[in-house]
Amino acid sequence: MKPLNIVHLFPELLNLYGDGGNVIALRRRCEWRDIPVQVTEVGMGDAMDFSHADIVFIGGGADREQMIAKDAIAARKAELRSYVADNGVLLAVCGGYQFLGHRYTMGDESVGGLGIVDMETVRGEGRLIGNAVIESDIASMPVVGFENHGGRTTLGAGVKPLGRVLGATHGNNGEDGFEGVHQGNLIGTYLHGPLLPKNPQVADYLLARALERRGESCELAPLDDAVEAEANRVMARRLGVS
Amino acid sequence: MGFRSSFAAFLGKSARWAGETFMHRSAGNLPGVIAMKAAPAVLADLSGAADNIAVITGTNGKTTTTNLAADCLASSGRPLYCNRDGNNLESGVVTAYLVKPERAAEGASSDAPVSCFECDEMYTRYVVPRVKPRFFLLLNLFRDQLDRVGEIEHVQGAIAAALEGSPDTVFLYNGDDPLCAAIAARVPNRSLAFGIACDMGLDADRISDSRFCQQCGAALEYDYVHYGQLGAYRCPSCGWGRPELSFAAENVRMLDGSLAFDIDGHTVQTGQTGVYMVYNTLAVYALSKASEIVSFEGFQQAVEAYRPTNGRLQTFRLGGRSVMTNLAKNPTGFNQNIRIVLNEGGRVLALFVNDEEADGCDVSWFWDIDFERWSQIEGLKAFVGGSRANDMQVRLKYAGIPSTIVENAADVLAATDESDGKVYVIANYTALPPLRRELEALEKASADGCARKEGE
Repeated sequence: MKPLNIVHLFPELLNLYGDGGNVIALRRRCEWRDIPVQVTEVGMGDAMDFSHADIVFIGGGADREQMIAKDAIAARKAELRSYVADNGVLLAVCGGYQFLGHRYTMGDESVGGLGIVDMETVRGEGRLIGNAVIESDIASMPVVGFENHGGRTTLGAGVKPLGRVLGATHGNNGEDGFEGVHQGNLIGTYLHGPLLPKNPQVADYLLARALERRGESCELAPLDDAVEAEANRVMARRLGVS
Repeated sequence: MGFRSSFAAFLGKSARWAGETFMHRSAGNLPGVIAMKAAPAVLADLSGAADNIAVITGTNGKTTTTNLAADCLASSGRPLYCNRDGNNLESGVVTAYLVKPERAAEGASSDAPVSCFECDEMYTRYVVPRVKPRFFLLLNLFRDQLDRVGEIEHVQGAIAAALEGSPDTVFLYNGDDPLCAAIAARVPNRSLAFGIACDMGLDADRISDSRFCQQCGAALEYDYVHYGQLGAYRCPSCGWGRPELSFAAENVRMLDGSLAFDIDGHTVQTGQTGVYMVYNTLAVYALSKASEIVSFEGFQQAVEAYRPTNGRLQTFRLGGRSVMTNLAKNPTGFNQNIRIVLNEGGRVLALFVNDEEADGCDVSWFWDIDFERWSQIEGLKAFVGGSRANDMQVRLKYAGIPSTIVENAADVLAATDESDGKVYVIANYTALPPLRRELEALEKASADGCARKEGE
């Protein structure tokens, strides 16, 4: 079997909140199941080829680094759009998530995004910061993480969020109760933590979709997730969700 | 000093006296907090009491470097004001002026007090313009507590504002750090760089802060990287690069439990370990030399005599067991500790991490640490504790390291024995002090036990 190819875009630039842990989680969960896996890191100046990608990951960066990455990704807009249109599995977090919409705010400036998802991000008063918990239909456990964003994202009518906020979690904009986006095989979210290690069901959801798209069995062998589940439970309980 | 500041200082001193007299403990920041309530700008008046040598900041190494610098300055015999305890907000600096200055030796050439202070990065913009020190020392800038402090650009802005508010202050900075050098390039102050001018042959950390040109954004090229983004860098696009080093350490030798380097024809030796101690020691050398009030002998004696007491690289002896504690509060700090353990062949690791306000409540940075380097250690026993023990346990699991959750150091000692060798306890900001107190008590009990046995 050809290894499952996880493409990590600009890890040296978009690496602000430990989000590379998502790639570690995907890779380890393949290795533990003897699913051949490889991680392709795409750096500045490297060719971006999505035709051999099974999962693409885009993280967030500091404003300065995100500025540098923005133009490189925008230059490959068409390829990324056709990858998503072809049901390619994509996980985008925070800055990477905002970038998927029509427009987003960078510093004080409004910038055009990739337009892959019908959504917009504007700057709001103050940052939305804190431990976060949401409920999502792709996981029976609550999905926990940490949010820290100044942008307020609003999904277009009919666009499905990743989930609904629980407790004091802010979510996309602190108002409509939605968090992230889930469109086909694409997931966008503000949740750091990083997202996948403490939410193994979300990690496995992405792996199953990637295998399914390759026409392989998406039945994943069960793993012992006691350590992950306990960390998830401790945080969910702390946030008043049990 | 005006009436308002005099009165404020009187109130602050009264609070200190009351704390010491009635509560039998140090009043911490409180005297400074009270004095600043009475007169917000009291620091500008108080600072006239001393020849203010330095304000010291940086993400990692502030407290250690400040204590080492204070030891050197004290060797001159002049009275010294210093916030050695690490109370590094403006109120902590005010408090330091309200206590009697320390005096190491009589017979100094001058009785005029001197000062050096540690300062939180974000508070330098208030403290430096009010203290107007001769030198403002910047050790390094790494990502730390994003939820509280924000991105590094904000920290750089605060430090530049501090320098602009005190134009006669000389900026003494780590030239190996492009994030520090970028500040020197944008402020009008006179600046002097220190750095390590030789390749130490270390592997680069997996995640680093900006290895991108601070002027044009192109990827920097490195002749060598020491750790993080520190090293000999140059921009292939615009030519910006590491500045000329006014203080350059060469021939760095990492020995077992100590280190040495050469500078200006001298050999400097310390009883401390870790590459970052080269920088801390080098920074104090630069400050001692530039200030012209500390002799090389005074500096060398202070460095040799330096023994941490605040849990940083502190070693405890419990019967036949040895326990080392150290602070690590961000990926760079942890990566340094990982190297120390690997260098020394350690096999028992205990990591304690809290998420109190002072620690930052976002722990996603665990995933930026190269724990995978530990996974090859044979017979490794790993333990995790603190309010985010579960998160650390997950991180270690994904690095291939199974670990056990514990409450304290005693649990670690109970689960291991002498044959496992030295125990390495690494803790973040609020997790460290209780562990230090616990180990001090255990060490004392162990020493008392030995003394009793000998007496039998």
